[in-house]
Amino acid sequence: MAFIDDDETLQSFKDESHEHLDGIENDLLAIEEAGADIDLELVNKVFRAMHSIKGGAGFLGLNAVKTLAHAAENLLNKIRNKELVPTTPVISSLLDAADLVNRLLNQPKGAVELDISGPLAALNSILAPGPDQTAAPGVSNAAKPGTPGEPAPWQALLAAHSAEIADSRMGGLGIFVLEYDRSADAEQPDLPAASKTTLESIGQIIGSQTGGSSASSPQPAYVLYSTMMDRDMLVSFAGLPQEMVHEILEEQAEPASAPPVPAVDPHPIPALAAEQSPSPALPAAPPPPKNVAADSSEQAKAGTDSSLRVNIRILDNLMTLAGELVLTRNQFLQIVHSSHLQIFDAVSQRFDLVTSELQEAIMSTRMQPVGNIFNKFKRVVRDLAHKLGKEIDLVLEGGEVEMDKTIIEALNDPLTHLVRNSVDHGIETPDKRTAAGKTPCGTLQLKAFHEGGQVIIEIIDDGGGIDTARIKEKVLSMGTHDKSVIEAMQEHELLRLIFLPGLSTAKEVTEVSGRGVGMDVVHANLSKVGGVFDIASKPGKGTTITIKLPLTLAIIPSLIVSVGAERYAIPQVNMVELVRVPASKVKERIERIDEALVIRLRGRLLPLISLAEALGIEKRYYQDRKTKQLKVCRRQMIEDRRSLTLPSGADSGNLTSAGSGVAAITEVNQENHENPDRRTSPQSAVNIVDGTDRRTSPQSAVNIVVVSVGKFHYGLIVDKLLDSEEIVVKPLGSHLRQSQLYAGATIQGDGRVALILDVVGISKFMNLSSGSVRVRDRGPQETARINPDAQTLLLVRNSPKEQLAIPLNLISRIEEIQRDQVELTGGRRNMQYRGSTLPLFSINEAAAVAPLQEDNSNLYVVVFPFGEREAGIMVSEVIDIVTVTDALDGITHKQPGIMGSVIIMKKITMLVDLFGIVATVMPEWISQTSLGTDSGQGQHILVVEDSPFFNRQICGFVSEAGYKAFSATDGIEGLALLEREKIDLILTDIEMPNMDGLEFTARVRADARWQGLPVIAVTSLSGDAAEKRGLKAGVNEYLVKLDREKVIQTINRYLKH
Amino acid sequence: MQSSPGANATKCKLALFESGHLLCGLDIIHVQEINKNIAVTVVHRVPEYVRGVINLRGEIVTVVDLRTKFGFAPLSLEAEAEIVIVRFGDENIGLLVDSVSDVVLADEKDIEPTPPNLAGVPGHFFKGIYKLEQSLVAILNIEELLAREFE
Repeated sequence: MAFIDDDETLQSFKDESHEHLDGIENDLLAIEEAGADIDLELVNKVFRAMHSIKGGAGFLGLNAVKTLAHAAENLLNKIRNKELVPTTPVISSLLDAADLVNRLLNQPKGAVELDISGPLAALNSILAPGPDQTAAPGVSNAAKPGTPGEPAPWQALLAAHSAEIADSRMGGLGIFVLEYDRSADAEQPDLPAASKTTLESIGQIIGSQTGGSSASSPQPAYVLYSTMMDRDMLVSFAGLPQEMVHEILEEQAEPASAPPVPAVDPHPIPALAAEQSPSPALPAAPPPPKNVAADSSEQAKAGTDSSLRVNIRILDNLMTLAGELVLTRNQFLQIVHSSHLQIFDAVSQRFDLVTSELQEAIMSTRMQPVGNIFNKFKRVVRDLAHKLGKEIDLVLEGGEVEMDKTIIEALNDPLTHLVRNSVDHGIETPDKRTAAGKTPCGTLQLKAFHEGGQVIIEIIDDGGGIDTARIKEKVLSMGTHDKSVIEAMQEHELLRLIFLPGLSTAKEVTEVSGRGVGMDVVHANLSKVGGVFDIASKPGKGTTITIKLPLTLAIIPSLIVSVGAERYAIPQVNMVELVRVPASKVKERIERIDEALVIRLRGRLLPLISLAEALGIEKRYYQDRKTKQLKVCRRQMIEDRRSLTLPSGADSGNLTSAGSGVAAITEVNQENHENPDRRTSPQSAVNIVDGTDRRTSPQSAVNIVVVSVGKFHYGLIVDKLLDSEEIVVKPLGSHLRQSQLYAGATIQGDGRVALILDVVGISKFMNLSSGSVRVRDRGPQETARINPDAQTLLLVRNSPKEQLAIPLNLISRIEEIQRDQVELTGGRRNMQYRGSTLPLFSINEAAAVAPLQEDNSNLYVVVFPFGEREAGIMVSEVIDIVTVTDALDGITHKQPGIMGSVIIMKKITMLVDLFGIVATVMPEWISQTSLGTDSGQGQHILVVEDSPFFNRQICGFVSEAGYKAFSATDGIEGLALLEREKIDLILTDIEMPNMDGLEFTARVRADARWQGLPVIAVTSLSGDAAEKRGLKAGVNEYLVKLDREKVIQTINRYLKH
Repeated sequence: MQSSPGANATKCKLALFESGHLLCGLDIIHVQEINKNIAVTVVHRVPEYVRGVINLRGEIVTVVDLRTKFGFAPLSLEAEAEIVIVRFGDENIGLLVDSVSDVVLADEKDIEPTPPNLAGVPGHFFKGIYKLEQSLVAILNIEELLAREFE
């Protein structure tokens, strides 16, 4: 039969079939798992799917597909009738058939059809042992492909009684064939007498017939029956199963469809009909609706989770539109912002809202569950495990987590590779596992979950782990790395080496993996979609691979920074923190180690890259703009112009110097030479870029954006931090695409283009890797210099005379706003912020401090989380961020809203108590957040803290919350108190003299009496490593010292349950 | 229009523009539009001949400096340059030229092969030379001009 020349029909058939096939695979695996104890519902589902494919394929003349699907359908029918146990070979043959159907469907039109004989033979060989009546048409058809399908077994019955049938139809009666199973007793007459009486009471038995000529049982009996009942009624009336009652419709009267098939699909019947007798008299129209309705209950069930297919092109287009809308919104907001037109406020708010909603809605159409790709691993793992003789239990979690279609698609290949790797190299053979004292069956877990606006995918196996010694050996044999470098590497760095091209630790090359291609490709593919990769492995225990992915690629939150006159966007996903080094601290904090710039940050040395240097734009400021030498590149001329628009402090100073770029660089060096203590060039670079004289300008502070590349962090020095924006990612043209420094571009509110930086590419371009700066060598002594009780504080002030400090780790953000953005509603000050209302407080509302300066047109809002919401503290000026190690005084200045004082920069600075301010101004909030004074019920809490200030603070708010606080200044005292008092919970500092918190916790845990006691570590140091150590010692929670709200909440949680 | 038989088939319209001291022509089939005064965002660490990118109604378009491409001294940014947007493959590319002067109807039989080296510019950048009354027009070969640099 020729192809029907209708691409659209063909395409929709293919789409539909692919959907069926996707489902089939998992269902088949589930059927296999269930074994003889079959889930009829599931088998039926697969059966119907195959049947639909068969029908459609027949209709469209795809004979190979039809034949295969038909054979599979017959096999499934046997399983359904419990004539065949779905053993592994049976399921394998079905899976193979499904695969082949899939391949056939993917073939381009007109290609030579694939050979289907293999899988077909496999299916038929399973079917062959006893072709029976029930499956007769299918079996015969499949066994002799090409021969026309045998008509329904009751065909003769219909033919014999055609006159009566016609008469009945004239009378408006329905014609049915009822099937009776006679397997119980072959000697039984055609029809049980009782049934006959029942039937005769409301219709007419026209004739009857026993099953075909074959001797094999069971042999059904067919009864031709005419009645005024409809099918559903008849089914219940006759007490027969659905599939045993066949309605004979007019068109079908001659070539009837396969008997045991519940007619669900719109295609199969006409398709079969058309295939079997290609006479034009038979319309290939969809079956009458009645037929479909017969199985409506089934369909309704399937319909609840059905999905809509949307052409991806349409979605892409919608996405672009949404992108434009976002850009317009940005523009609009900018106008509103600058012209202070109150009228625009409401409009812009609405505009903002609609845009966000539209964006979200459209985005959601692109979102697909990770399960789509997770599920296919059931098959991959099963097949591989069989092949390799391993037993593997695959555990899937979080299949419902949704991600952008593009990312899901890009994830497919890398994930397949990683799973195959885990199965092949990771999990050992059962005997090896047994020898190693593990269960013979290995476990492979695939997990997906949300974390911090990203999707995390973990591939966890409990196999042998990655042998870093072997990696070392391999890498050394490849000769790409220096031995000393490799030797100095830490475990996790060694693990990352598996991403090197050409590296494979498999001892032998297998069919599955081990050829040393792949991991590098995996890495490259994941990087393309913004994925970040990490490996943790324990020899003998297993390997965990973590992939972090963005939810979407189309619109991303970013920080806009500037270097010179140009603006760049850094995706927030890549950002860790922002660091501003004040001019006075530059010398002390930034230094040069073997050509590399580093900054001291919380006891660690962080490598730095000057963005200007990476982009090759810093030297221009030494350019004599009057020189127009021939060799001067166009860049320099561009820069000439740029410098015209800048305040030209640096320029004027160098006007008389020699013209070429080379000379200019020399001059930098000379200058550095003259000022040996200003040798650090980031400082010069940045200040120069500012175009101001760094010696006098306060702007000579260095702005650093700390970004992450996997576990490795580095700092990018930029001129200015401008704004955070949601940007629409636009691709770069082909000439720029090879540049590894840029990930794309975006258009800003003013229509200008800003390039999006690729932080991974930049670190590569600048040859920066975690090994390049030997930070660890200095690690311990660096850390020792840091006082563990050091607090990082944000210095602010409202009046020039009074300095205030807010603990930095309690703050979420700092915003600079216009004074008129503050709105007075219901007697409270608020501002519109990120689509909701942000309540604003000023410190003087609670404490006796200077009020906000009235004359400034702008002010700063320090945003901090409070319970479920956020609140903001208004201040006139933000001065700096400082780390203080000096003793904090918790008595002298203590008052509501002020927790104490400390001397910073020779000034008494009052420490703001954010919680206290809220508690004073909005006492009802406290009760709402269940942090009220009555939340505790007098339980005993041991506070172990060496600093008197913090000790007092913590004891204070613990008591206020209704608990009884016992105070100890170190671990030894703490243990003594534990002996004396009945303690319900411990709050402990980590860094303490005599006995530190870790040891203290370990001792508490070691004592049987206190094993179950909740221990909460409160500390000013935060960080993964510290936290891990704490958790290892047995700490239940790890909290920030001054986060009163969180501490109380956590205590409440532990003591309420 | 006076035309000899079949002449229509062999005529094409050329957009004329100057780049350095070279008068160039480009079949207007390639030309999407011509823009003036669009702010070019400079992109660093990319091939020298790429001046930067512009925002063309939401599309990021690469701007190639024809002068640099030809090996001439680049045009200063202050100069009033124009950007000829051409279609190249599936993207638009901006050609930065000194000025766009005219559109002429050229008879293909008057187009002569390019000498291997035209005023110091490699000949393969051009499809041929068209003679105007007072000057010569070098007809650009867009494919060569833009594709060559992929290595």
